[in-house]
Amino acid sequence: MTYERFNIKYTLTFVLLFCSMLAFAAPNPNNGQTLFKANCQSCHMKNMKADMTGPALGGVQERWEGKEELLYTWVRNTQAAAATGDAYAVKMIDWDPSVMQAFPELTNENIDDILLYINNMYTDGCAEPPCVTGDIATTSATKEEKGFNWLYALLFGILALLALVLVRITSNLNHMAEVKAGRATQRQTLLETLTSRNIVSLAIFAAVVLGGFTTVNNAINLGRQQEYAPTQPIKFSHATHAGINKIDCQYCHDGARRSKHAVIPAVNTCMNCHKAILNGPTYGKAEIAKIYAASGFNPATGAYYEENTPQDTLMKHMEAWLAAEYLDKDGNKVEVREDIAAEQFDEVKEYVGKDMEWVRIHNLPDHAYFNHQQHVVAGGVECQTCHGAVEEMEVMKQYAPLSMGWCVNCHRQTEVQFADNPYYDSFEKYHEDLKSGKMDKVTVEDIGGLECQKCHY
Amino acid sequence: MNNANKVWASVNEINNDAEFKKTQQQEFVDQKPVDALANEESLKSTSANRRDFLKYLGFSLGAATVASSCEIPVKKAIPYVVKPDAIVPGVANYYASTLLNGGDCTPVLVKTREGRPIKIEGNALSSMTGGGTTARDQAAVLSLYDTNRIKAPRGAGLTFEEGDDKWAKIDAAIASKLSPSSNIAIISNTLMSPTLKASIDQFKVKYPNTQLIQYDPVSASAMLDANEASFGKRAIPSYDFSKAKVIVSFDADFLGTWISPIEYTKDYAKNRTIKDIDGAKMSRHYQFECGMSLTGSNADHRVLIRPSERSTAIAALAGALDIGGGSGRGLDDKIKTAITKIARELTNNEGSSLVVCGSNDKNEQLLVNAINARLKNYGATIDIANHSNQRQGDDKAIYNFVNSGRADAIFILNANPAFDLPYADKFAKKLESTPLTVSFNQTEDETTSLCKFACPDHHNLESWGDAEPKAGQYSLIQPTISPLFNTRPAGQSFLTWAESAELDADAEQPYYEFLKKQWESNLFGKTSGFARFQNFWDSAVHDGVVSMPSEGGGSASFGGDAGAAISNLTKPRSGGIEISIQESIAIGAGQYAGNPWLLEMADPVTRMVWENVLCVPVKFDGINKYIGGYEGMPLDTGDLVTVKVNGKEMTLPVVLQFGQMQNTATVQLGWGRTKAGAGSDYGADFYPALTVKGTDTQYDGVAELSGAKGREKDFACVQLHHTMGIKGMGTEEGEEINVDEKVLGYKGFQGSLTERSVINQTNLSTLKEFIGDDPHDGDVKVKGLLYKRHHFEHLNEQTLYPYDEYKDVAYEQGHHWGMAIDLNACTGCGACTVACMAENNIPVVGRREVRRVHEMAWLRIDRYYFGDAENPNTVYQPMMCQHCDNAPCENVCPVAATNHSSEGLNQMTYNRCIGTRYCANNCPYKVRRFNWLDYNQADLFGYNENKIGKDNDIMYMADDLTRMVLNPDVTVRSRGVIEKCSFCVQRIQEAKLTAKTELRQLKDGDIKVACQSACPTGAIVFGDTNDKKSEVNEQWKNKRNYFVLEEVNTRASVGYLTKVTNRDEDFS
Repeated sequence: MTYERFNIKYTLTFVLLFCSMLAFAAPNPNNGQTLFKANCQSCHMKNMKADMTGPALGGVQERWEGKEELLYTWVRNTQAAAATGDAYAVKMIDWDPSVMQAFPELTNENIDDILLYINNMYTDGCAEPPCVTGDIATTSATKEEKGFNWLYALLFGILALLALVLVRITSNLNHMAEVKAGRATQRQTLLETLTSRNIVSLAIFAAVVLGGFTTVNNAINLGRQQEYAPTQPIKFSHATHAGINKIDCQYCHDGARRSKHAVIPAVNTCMNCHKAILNGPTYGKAEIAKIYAASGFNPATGAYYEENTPQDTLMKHMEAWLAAEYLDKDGNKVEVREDIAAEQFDEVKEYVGKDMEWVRIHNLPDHAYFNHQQHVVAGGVECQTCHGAVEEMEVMKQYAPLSMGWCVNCHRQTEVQFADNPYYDSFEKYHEDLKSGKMDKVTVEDIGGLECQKCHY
Repeated sequence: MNNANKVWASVNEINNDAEFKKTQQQEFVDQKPVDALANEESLKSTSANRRDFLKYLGFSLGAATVASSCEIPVKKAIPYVVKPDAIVPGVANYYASTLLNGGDCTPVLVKTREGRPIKIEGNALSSMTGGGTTARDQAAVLSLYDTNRIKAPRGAGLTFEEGDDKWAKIDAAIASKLSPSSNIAIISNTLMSPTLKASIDQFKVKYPNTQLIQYDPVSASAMLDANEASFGKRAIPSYDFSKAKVIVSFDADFLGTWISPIEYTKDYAKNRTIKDIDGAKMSRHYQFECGMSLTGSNADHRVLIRPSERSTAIAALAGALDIGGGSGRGLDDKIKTAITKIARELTNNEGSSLVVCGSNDKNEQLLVNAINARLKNYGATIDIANHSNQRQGDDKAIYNFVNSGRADAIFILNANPAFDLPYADKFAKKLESTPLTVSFNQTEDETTSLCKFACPDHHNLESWGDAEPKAGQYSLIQPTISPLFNTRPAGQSFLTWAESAELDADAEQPYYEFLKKQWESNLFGKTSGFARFQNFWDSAVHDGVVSMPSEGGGSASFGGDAGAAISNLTKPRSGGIEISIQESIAIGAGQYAGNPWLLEMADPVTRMVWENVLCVPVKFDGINKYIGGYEGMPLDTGDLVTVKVNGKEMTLPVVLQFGQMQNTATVQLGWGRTKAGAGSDYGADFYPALTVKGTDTQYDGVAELSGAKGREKDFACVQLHHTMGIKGMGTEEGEEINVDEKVLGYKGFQGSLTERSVINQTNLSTLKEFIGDDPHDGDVKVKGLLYKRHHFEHLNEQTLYPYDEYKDVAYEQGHHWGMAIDLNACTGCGACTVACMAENNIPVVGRREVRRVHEMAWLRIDRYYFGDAENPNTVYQPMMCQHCDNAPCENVCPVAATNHSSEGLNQMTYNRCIGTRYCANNCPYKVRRFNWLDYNQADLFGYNENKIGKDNDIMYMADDLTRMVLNPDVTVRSRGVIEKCSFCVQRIQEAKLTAKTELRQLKDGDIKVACQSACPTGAIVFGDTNDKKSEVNEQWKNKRNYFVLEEVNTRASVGYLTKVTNRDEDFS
């Protein structure tokens, strides 16, 4: 059977891979992935095929063919590599005005890991080919299921054929019997049968049922916007902030622990860090400038403007700052091209002295009450449970359907932190049942979490 | 006829009127909506026919399809730039402040959400109110968002260009019209703010010929004069009703409108509730009046006197107490006997009695002072040393000013004298002839619209300020929102015009700085325990109230001349119909008439909304009917009559009022405003009917009635809307039957349908008998309430369904919410009903809709009478969803839109409701309300919208400003769904979450529902009945407790405590 072969094939690959690692301590693409994420991803595209702040890394080994040692040096310190006078190194130094950060802590092995990861990503699109999503066990399980479906379909087909044949045979036999009995009857051709009143009505009926079913199903989904990922005024990357820099979700979304709203952070929350961080890894000054524009901050002087500073002054300062050269976080000077600066200013100027209008992504249906504090503090639910792996999202999107079915399902399954919170002491019977083993857990549903007025009032 | 055991609500009911019975048997009373629509003038012109209907149907279906298949609109979210530390979006902040309007002063907490005030709660730190509020206080947030407010200053002949500093221009213009020798009159209602007075004093430095004239629309001027004559102090004393065992009131509506109603109500109720029926004690309250006032309706005995007999009656009481004054010649023998008995009782309670008088007659007040002095009440129940500042109006000053005063400039400071003076027309003329007239009022009212300059003051909730309602009791006003419009504090205007050195004009909030300085120099020195002024100030801002050490003593020696007062008393009028004109509970003396919540609040006694009515007496014809009206002039509720008082004619509808004295009438003051926004042109203005005696305004007179002149078209009385348990007289046998019984055709059906228990009431003397023996304790010798309830329990167990098994499983753990209402503590003031409107986004529907029985209030206060029909006692019953554990509404909903929660809540889910209204039909308490129209302007289709206002042209809630009052935690309901009391589920959920977050159990008292927290007497208690120690359980264990319609097995969660009066059986 096909699915078995799949299984064997993967198991074999896996075992082989594992053995090879043990035997040769070969470069590990998983290590490479971690290292890449931590060090490289802020400037180099993960797909290895496109340029970002840094160039696309796909095929880097071919380009440095024969100069492996120099490549190690380059990665650790580009300036040092260029100083050797290597033509390619010098060419790459001029690739972009921004200078690549130095990574003296990376060992040769580390770099090998990263290179393997780069190669794998470039050629196969994943860290460890063969590329499958999820881990191997689940993959085979889904394959298995799929195999079964095919089996059912095949079985259904054969049986249907058999039924058709049998029907035909009975019909023929009947006809023959009729003829033998001397009753000449008109036999219907297959076409006639298919266009008969009964079959047509049946088909129409089936179409109505199917159509109704589809319509209802689609209608239920009206107004839902799962995967909604609109363009935001600032190209804010959760991947950079929550992922790479590991800023706690609730540092910015400080309402989550004390209010029904998680809260889009106030502009001055951004300023807590961006008073010091003047340029970003991806867009340089361009996106961060919008925060300054909205908050009335002059990055050139590091101070806020006086109230009633004329709009012209704000504009002029902003334009000058965007065009000015700047120091990256290692203290290297970066020059800004004039046309880029102009383009950036074009984009930034509409935010000068204006409110920051974010596009709201998570819109609850009307008449539904939701409280973040209840879920985050009282329920101890992780942000990611409902919002997905935000720390990996370059562009924020709606992860969950936010439908009532989705809420209710979670309330059915989620266990209440029953023993730890004295609030639940009044549920004496449940405590007894838990103790006696009659219940193994108390779900939200058990304490009334499915009742209408828990969410609708 | 004595109806001691009978409770009734209206004349038709007690008369067993055939037409009335018919309407009561219909589920939806009055016109059917279809008829009403067909008759509606406004709809006659529409020409929609079947084809149009189909077109619209097709179009709307198509539109809906297109609309829903198009892209979802992009929603923007705009964060703060700099988030204030105190504000967390989604979390309410409470600020201590004070609501101050003329003589009304209430320390409150203002609930704000995202910087906008949405709800008023009482400030429990105030020793004066103890956290109680009035309906007027509750409605203050709506007046903040009044679209009728003046949005910027204006001046005659001044034009502004864009970018102009309007205030600077106004200041310059006013300064140019004033000179140091100008005669300036500042006309104000009672001014309780020491800081505002200080700023006027600053103004006087520059303009020495300035006089401040205070007056009160409903005046206590004569009382102040009498106190000055008696004790040398022109002030109102503090009354302590909690120490009074016998209370005698002559026309003083101290629970409703007189001086300081919250304080008095709070104290009064302390002596009216009964915890333990053994050795129960209550105060006894006698009320002398001609019409049924709120206070009178709570009295044990009402002695009916004509307004002109009041003087004689007081004199007779003085006589009976050996002060002199005669025996009450000219009074009815019945009244004389009553006075003798009352005098005896007062003498027995020397030092623990209280006699108050609401009249504006100096001689009467002087005599009342003499009586109180004779009864040794000063220093006991009355404290003149720590006086009240809540009435300071001086009738003489305003009268003389209007009639003979001379002024170059008139400043109107929070007053409306062109409307609320008996000589308002004269005042208006004076305004027109004065060169400079400036109004600080917030709306273009009758007076402001006549003024040349309007310099609008901030709204109370936007301003800094202070008040000293009682000597030594300071209350701070702090802003809870930045000013919505281009307004300026009146005090700042005075300081600016005075060019005062005290004003720091460059400060961000100059008046705030001035206020702080005033407090620093005047109050900080008197306090102890604060190292620096800032500490004192912070504490004052936080608490909202500051109490200075009170002055000792309080007893004062009476120095008035009682003899002279007696000889100067007025003699009773003979003959004619006398009319008494009283302040309205809801809209005051007209100051609150622009507030739709108050306009739609049912008057506690007449249960009228949106207008005033003439209360006329009811008489028993001696056979079996009650007839309303006067000798030779039968009148019925809803008839229009023209009343001529003091030469002025007013036309208004009639209400037959039990307890109204024969040949008298009562009417409310304050209605008939012409420039009050949504409240314009409702009711009849009775200020012109007021007379002046000497200089004092008199609130009674002689009325000439025209007789019925047709019917009021939009008569909006909620009295018989949503009634339950109607009984009447059988037509054949002449015996009493239950209307429901008749409907069902079963006679003598056991249990549920006979003898419904809606109201239980008894007298203190018969209380023990009434309660009877507890069947749970063994033999029952006295069958009373407990026996009856035991019987109900037995009946309720006779069910096919094993209900009690379910009950144990369903509610044995977690919470089960319940409520207890003490009918003895409830005075019917109506604060809870408006609090409920504010908390739960309940729409205002307007008079036209109320007439069609479409009012939306979740909480109504049913008013029932019992006892002597011509002079009955009253019981008020707050009635809201009873959250029945065996709810009849839940069983009949075809879509399960109403169902029960594990916490015992009867849940209403608006999004599921399809509007069949089966639940409303099946609710025995009649507490479910249906959104017949889109009252809150919540949906897209204009046709469903409702309009209010006299000309039916105000789309209430349609503008963003008014919508700011909505509570964001409560759904705004659209057309076509049922709604009802939710036990403030949003507050329950909030308190539960707080407990969970703080890792603790929910404490009793954590949850205070809106009606509960508004109540000045604590009549409403809410809590978890599963918590054995909760107060609600304590109340339920009180032997007076019963459940309304317990016999129909609804298993309600609201317990009521039997009403007990303290009537003297020998008193006739």
